[in-house]
Amino acid sequence: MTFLEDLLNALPGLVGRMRHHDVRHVSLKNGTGTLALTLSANPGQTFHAHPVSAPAKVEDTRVPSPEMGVFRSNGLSEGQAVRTGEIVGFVETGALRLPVTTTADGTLGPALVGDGSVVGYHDVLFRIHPDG
Amino acid sequence: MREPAVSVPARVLIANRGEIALRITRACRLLGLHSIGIHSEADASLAHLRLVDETLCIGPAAASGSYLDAARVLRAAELTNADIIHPGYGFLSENADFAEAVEQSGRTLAGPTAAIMRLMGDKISAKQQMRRSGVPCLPGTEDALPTDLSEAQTICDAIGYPLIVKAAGGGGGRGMRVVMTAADLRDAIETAREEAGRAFGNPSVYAERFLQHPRHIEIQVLADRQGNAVWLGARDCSIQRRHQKLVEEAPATGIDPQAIAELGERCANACTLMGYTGAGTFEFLYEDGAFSFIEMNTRLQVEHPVTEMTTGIDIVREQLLIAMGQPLSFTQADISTQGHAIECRINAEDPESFRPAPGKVVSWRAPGGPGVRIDTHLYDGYVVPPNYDSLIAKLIVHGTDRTDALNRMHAALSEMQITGIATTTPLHLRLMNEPGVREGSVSVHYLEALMRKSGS
Repeated sequence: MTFLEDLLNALPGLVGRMRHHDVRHVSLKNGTGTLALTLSANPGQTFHAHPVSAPAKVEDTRVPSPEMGVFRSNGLSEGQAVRTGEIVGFVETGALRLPVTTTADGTLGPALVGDGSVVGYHDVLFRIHPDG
Repeated sequence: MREPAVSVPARVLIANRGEIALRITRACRLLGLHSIGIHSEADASLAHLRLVDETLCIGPAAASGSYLDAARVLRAAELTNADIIHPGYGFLSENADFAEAVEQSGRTLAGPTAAIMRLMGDKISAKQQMRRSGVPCLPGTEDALPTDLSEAQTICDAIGYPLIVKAAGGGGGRGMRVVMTAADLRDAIETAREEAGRAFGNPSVYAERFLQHPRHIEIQVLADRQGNAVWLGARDCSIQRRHQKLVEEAPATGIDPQAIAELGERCANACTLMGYTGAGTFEFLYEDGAFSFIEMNTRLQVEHPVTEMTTGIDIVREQLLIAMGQPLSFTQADISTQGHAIECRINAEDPESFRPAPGKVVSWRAPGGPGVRIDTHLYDGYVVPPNYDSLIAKLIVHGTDRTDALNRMHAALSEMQITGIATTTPLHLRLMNEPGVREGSVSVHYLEALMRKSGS
């Protein structure tokens, strides 16, 4: 909300300068969004901004390694829909091959470690973006 | 001994945490070695992990599932292709089974062999080895006391009273009984045997003369794989509470340097005779002008910096060089000690009750100036976890003489700021001005008596 509030406060000054320099279009970006301003063809027109609420942030779910060992991919790729409890890879520890299982339904993010990489106990191997 | 193949640069796995892991990391970086930091889940934000070449989380917060779990540490070494494992102090550093497993995996432990660790780990065999090497021991039994109580009585009467009955495989005060007169002996032996059997699975006990007001004096040694051994001076670690050292210093004040030199020579010779490798410490009780061997610590010690400050020798660097198979680059003739060094252990503890005080360090301001060294993993916002030892910093000073060192320590303690958690700093500040400490040569009972007197 800070970005939006700051922009709303700065708007009168920005529009004034756009008119002064005859700039028709401005696009402002920061890490969370973009604001595009297009100068109206009819000077003197007044716009009223309505409060905008930011969309609720949806937290990704982490998929941890069950053990310290070597990560083995099982071919699942980014963007694939997964269900809770689904096996998304393995971690080899000695003679054991332990499954890496998801803890939420959603869309699988990219593997955070490569196939054959050494991974630590409870290292995050994937993120799952919840649906909806 | 078969020499394991070592990568270039050697890959060193640091099997510890906290200040000592940082100390070992520094030595690795100095030597250009590839350092591997392992940690528990609670320790992902440890200071040294920012400096090592590789990190690996090996298990949960509980030490039994991480730093004390030999199988996990070995697996980490395998996964990261480590050549050398530096165990630091505590945890697995004196575990002979771990040392053996490291050897069998074709890796090198920065320390002595498993066989030597076993020899020194058993108090009876360690004492026998010392006697063979001419290292002075307390008058006492050569072997375990016979099970026949009248035979045991005859032996103990010959040693003289007061004496102490101790578990052969023990430590930490269990299976230990002080016997003031001959009449109390039988009961003491029976109780100690029973306790030792329950605690250590070995009911053997031995007896030795009990000293009433000894000082704790120790000799630091370094020995290479080529059979060269040197001693690096003595330390006095008499300021202790419940066998935990709080203040250490070097050299040992008020003891004839010639007597220390003779003792040091005997310790170095003992290393050569038994084939000791790496850093080690011979611990002694000192009373009435005589030294008596207590035990050998087959590892790096918390208080090694006071020896480093007085000799100028980087003990951890030497440990790594020895583990890499290099001979010592100096001889006994090259070693001399200068000035006086003191170390205060800053623990996250209530300074009066000594109860652990884990929590978030809100701000940390290190002291400085000439002769001041601080070995710590602290930083602003660091959270001291409740799972491990409470040592959070070692403040070390070096002065021209003991008085100068005491003054420097007082100034440095006053300058140091740790906010957010309780620490032992106020106690150290008080100690630096205590007449007993200023005078020096206090016994191992000094601190507990002082605390009792002040009603703590």
